[in-house]
Amino acid sequence: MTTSTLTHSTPAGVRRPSGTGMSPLGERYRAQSARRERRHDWLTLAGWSLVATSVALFLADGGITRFATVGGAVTAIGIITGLVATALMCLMLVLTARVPVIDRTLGQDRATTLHAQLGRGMVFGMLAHGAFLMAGYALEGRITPVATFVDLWQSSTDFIWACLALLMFAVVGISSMVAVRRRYPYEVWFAIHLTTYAAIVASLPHQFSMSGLFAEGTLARGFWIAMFLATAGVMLAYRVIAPIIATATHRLTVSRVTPVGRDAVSIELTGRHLDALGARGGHWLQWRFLTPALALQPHPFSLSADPTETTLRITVRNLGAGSGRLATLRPGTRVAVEGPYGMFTDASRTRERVVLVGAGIGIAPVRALLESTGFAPGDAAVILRASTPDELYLLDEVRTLCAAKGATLHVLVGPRAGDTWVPRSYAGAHLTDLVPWVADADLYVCGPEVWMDAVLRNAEECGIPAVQIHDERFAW
Amino acid sequence: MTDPATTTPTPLIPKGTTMTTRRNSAALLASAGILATGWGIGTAHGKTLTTTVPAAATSSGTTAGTTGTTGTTGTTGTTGTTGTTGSGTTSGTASGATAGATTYTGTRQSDRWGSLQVTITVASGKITNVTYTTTAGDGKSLSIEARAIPTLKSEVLAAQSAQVSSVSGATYTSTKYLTSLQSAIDQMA
Repeated sequence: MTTSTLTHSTPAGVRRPSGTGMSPLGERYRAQSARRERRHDWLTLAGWSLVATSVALFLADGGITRFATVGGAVTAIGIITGLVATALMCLMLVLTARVPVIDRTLGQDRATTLHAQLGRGMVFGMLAHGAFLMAGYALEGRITPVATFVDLWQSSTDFIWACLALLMFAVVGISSMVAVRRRYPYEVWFAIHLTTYAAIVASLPHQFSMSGLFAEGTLARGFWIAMFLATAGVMLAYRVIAPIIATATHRLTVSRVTPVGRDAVSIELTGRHLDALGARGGHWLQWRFLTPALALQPHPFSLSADPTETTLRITVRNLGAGSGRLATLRPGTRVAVEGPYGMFTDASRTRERVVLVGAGIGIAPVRALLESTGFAPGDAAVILRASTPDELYLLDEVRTLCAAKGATLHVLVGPRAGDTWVPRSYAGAHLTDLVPWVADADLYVCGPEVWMDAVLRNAEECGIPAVQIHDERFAW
Repeated sequence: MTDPATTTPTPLIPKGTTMTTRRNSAALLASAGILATGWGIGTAHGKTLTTTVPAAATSSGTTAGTTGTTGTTGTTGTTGTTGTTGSGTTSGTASGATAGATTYTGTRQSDRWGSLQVTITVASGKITNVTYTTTAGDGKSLSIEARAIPTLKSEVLAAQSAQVSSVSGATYTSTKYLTSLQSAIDQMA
């Protein structure tokens, strides 16, 4: 069997006359989507406002008068780039702090993408800050930039710390731009981020001692301190305290490890009060299996079934060195968790109809979402994709769920046709050929990165509005 | 659906870009508002900060008047208060006790934090008072000056020369102050 299409219910698309009265489910999802858009508006506004405020502080301090001379103007640009870069830095930290409202609005993967984009701006901003200030001070003092540098180096320890911070930011920024982050072993990635924290701390003293803007007794100083404290507080709350509380409350332990297909395992866990965890099908969590070999590495894995009050399940393919060892987990192993995270859930639905597309181990979250998300019979389609039949993880479970809930199932197996997402036997086929009403549905896509990009390109060609497309990057 | 269709799908609905554009323009507009507010505050403040300073040496008789300038220059925040208090007491003494005193204004000394100019009052060949004007616009410089200059002043009055040690943590201020002071002293001869 290289290709097959299994249809369990009447083909949808012929049933619902579109444009007529909306079902309660459709209304609920539209309202949910509108709320999410509004949250997105506010978050965007807050982010821009923070950056604008940082510059406004400079203007309010009479900064504009510096533009009267060339040297003053260069200095002013140096100050502004420093302010903007620092505001961006705080935004970056908040974006990766796993703040629930950000996760429920942007989704953690988009937040992380934005984090990386801002990171580029921040590093260039910091470098410009240093360069412009040296040039500006030199012009104003009628000495060479080198002399300015030496002068400052000798007069202030805070300046030396600032230089170290800049050096660290440059190293971190350039190394994360040049090499793709996921290629690093986790430990290298971790070291890089530890360096970033060191750089932030080293950059703090000069901001308050050398810049007149944040001198003692100024309102600007209060604002700047509040910005740093809020950032640190949010990180501490959601990245340290919340996971500790969740781990202590739910007391998760491994209860069963079952092989799935050729190279994957399903890990079942039991715990207490799991309804309070708030996890739903499609969510992912950071898992830390507390064995000597695995405790130091947190693994992000999606749930592969809708949680119950006492059980969770994940399905994991043996990819990295760490996840390979997971097959040897013993029942009874304690597990620490962070999460749940992600928007690959019912919470991002915008329409009453839904199409779920999963490839390889990406089928696991698709299966969990299929179980948890709501739709009327005939209003859902599931497309599973794999190169070989034994990579169709959890196929039987998906088939059963499709039959029970009334979803159409398409199974596409075989090597990819060119750079499309379909197998060769389907060459030239589009999403609309498989699901005619796809443009009026929510589309969920999860699978290998390159394949997913191909699906998303096709989704755009098929005219699916961006708000209806939900993808989870599964590059770990 | 075993047989793959090859029709090109027609784009039906525009992408969600209009929403994104609207969101970003709203945010940009808000940012512009914030910047304009900052600018407005800055300009309002700027008027009090850019006080022009009297030039070269003035003839005898002008004591309290000139000294008063110091207070005006430093009108912002805490420093302003210090300045006003300082000039208030000293000018009182100068005008009362020393009739026929002469003031000499030193050269203006600048660095990246602003410029500083010192005026000395001389009666019977003795420096009886030292005042200064500053163009430093930022709070930090003003607070450094407010801290260091009273110390420098009392040392100068005691030593009757510019040969005093600079105040630690205020090297730039000390240098400007003492250099300007020296040029004022040079005019006495």
